[in-house]
Amino acid sequence: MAKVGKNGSSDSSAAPPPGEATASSSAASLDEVIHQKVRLGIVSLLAAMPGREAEFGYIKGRLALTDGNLSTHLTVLENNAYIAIDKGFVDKKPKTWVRLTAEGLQAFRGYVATLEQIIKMVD
Amino acid sequence: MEQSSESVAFEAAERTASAEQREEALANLHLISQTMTSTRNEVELSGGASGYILLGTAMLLGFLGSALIEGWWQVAVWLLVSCGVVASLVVIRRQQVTAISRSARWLLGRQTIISVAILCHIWAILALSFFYHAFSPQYSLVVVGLVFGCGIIAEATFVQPRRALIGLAYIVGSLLTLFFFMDYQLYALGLTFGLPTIGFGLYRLRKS
Repeated sequence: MAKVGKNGSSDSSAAPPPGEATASSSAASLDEVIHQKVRLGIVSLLAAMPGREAEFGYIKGRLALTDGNLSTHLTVLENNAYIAIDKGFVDKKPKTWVRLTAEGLQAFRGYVATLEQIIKMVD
Repeated sequence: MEQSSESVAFEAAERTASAEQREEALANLHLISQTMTSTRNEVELSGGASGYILLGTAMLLGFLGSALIEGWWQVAVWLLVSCGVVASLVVIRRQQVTAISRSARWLLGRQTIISVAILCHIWAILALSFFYHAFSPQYSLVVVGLVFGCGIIAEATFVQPRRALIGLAYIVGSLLTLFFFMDYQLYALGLTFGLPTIGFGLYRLRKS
């Protein structure tokens, strides 16, 4: 699969001519940041949450991840400005809140639209 | 000829790749749908068990209390029940959702809205029956019971099939008030509204 940038633009040199979009070209335009299974799970979960925000421990439990694994994927998403991380205290206990940004939500919607496009093209 | 066979091979490879991509796309869409649905249900239904037990007990105590105590003391029964329900629902909701998301604490949730709507409706009937004796509360109970019942059944088809039992209880209860508007009407309402709701809450509690 071709590498893509943050906005989903492909750097593949074998792009089809205009008007001849194929499933392969659509697949190539998939956002690699979200396409990874764990990150897809994180973004889907956040998109379904009220306020598009969830607590670190909740995400960890729901997706059955370790602290380290989740932190790594959150860092990737944060570096792409798809999520914002906020730390605070609740009842004197440290909490980490993860929020899906507007950019992240837009990227997620674009990703879902691309998946649907792939399915329609192959059909 | 050679070019043609290359072209056929290329097309075959393209088709295989497309089929694989389609499979992957379908799997990813399924994952997204599953994650989002289960998350929404979990947030929405968090505290569901205790909330349903609470509402069922309130209906049972409220209606049976109203049947046993006549006159103005009914107000005291419903006042006690209503305050207990609202306070407990707020505490349960806040405790459970804060552990998940800061924003969720401000959400009322369908269950809380239904509970408060039921209590408001009961209060409206009480007020009308005390201050305007010509009013017949049974028709109001039928309408609201049917609306709540159908709403819960419709919602249950999407969220949790067993919740349909509560909807059925509301419909049966409201019809009872229409056909048997007699002395034991409040007992019938307390049992048909209260017991299935408590039963559903206990079922959810056991499942969780």
